[in-house]
Amino acid sequence: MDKLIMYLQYPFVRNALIVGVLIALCSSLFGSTLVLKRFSFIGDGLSHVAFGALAIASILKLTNNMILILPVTVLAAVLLLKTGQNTRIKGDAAIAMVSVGALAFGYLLMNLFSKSANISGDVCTTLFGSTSILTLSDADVWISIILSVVVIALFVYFYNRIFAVTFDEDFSVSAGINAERYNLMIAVVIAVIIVLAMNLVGSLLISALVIFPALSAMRIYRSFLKVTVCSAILSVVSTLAGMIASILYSTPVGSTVVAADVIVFGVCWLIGILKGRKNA
Amino acid sequence: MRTIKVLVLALLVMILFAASCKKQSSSASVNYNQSTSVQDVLDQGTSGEKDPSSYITITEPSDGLDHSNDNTEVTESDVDIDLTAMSSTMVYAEVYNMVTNPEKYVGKTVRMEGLFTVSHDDTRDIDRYACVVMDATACCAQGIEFYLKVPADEYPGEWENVVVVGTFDFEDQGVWRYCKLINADMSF
Repeated sequence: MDKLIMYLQYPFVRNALIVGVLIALCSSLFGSTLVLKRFSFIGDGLSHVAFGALAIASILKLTNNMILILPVTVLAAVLLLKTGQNTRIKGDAAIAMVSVGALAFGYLLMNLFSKSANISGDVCTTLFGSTSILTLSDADVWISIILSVVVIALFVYFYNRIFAVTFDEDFSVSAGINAERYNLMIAVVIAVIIVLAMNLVGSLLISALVIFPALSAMRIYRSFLKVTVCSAILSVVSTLAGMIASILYSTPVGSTVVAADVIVFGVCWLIGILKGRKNA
Repeated sequence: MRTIKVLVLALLVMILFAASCKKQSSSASVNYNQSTSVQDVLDQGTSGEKDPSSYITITEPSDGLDHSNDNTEVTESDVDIDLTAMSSTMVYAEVYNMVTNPEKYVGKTVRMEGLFTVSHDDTRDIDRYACVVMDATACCAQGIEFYLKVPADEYPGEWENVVVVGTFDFEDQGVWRYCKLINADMSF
């Protein structure tokens, strides 16, 4: 405990905890929507696209990589989520195609053109997020905070419409809701969350941050609101526990956070079984 | 509707908390090790096992550079940032931040433990020494160069463990920025 208090004196630790909590909150809120719309793997696909964009931004030596990563990822999200319905290449195949293609090209470009002294280390850090959250610049912190607040505000303000579009898109359209516009908004917000979450858990583990809290909450609750609130709480708790454990026990941040998510899922699954037996 | 209001209220509280934390972190000097005594910090780093006299005491600069402005004299009681008392994840993150934002750390006395490495600088015809630390997975490494107060009689082997205490500084040479510990003491 004394060591934790000592670590909390460091500004970069406090920044990491604040940004980590906000990212966990954002990803859990929209995670329920993605899981219910059967788009769980979109996080993986978009994170690989973001990795490819990051590789290009590193080669171009941009002052802030977000300038390139964010618009490219948003564009990919819009294309993947909007073209999944009536195209020759269906949703899951399109995601897989874009995902592995971007990952391969990103790594290839980094090896061919990057002048970094440790390319493998840079790639490893980006893919697994071992210490990325602890090495954020002031600009990164402020951008993350502002984007997270915007994402949360959008979810709270458009909650009813997101709910309608998630559960029954045809009914939403017949009720006068512009489902296409809200699907587009969800796609853009997911892209923003993915770009932010890369700092916390890395490209390869982002899906866990989106999926596990929602699935854990679904083991216990049935209503959309309760699942959303529960997944938000579980995600924040897991992220805080994972980050503190990694700082105290010298483990990589990204994988420790995901391990905490998995443990929480296991506990919720047990609670769900006990609850089911009690109600039977 | 009530839930939405609660969520919005929580959001506002978070924003205020975040803003206040940012304001605190950006204010004047950063002081570490406020809650523990200096002797506790030194004991933590050495586990009470190393004799402080094992530090090499020296009298002449070893790097051939001008040290007429180096007023800081490092003593064991002046350690501001003790990296030997931290986990490897924290050490890597702190060293990374020191290298990328050196202005915030100039003048701080730093104690670090890492791997010793040496390379020869042909332009100045001197050996340059560095202490390298790695993150938890050992895939990423970050090092800080150090300049001993006087040349040591004996140096450790390449990649052997060393503890270095020195004053943090940085120097811009063209497009390159070199971070270093000056007036350093080394033990191994």
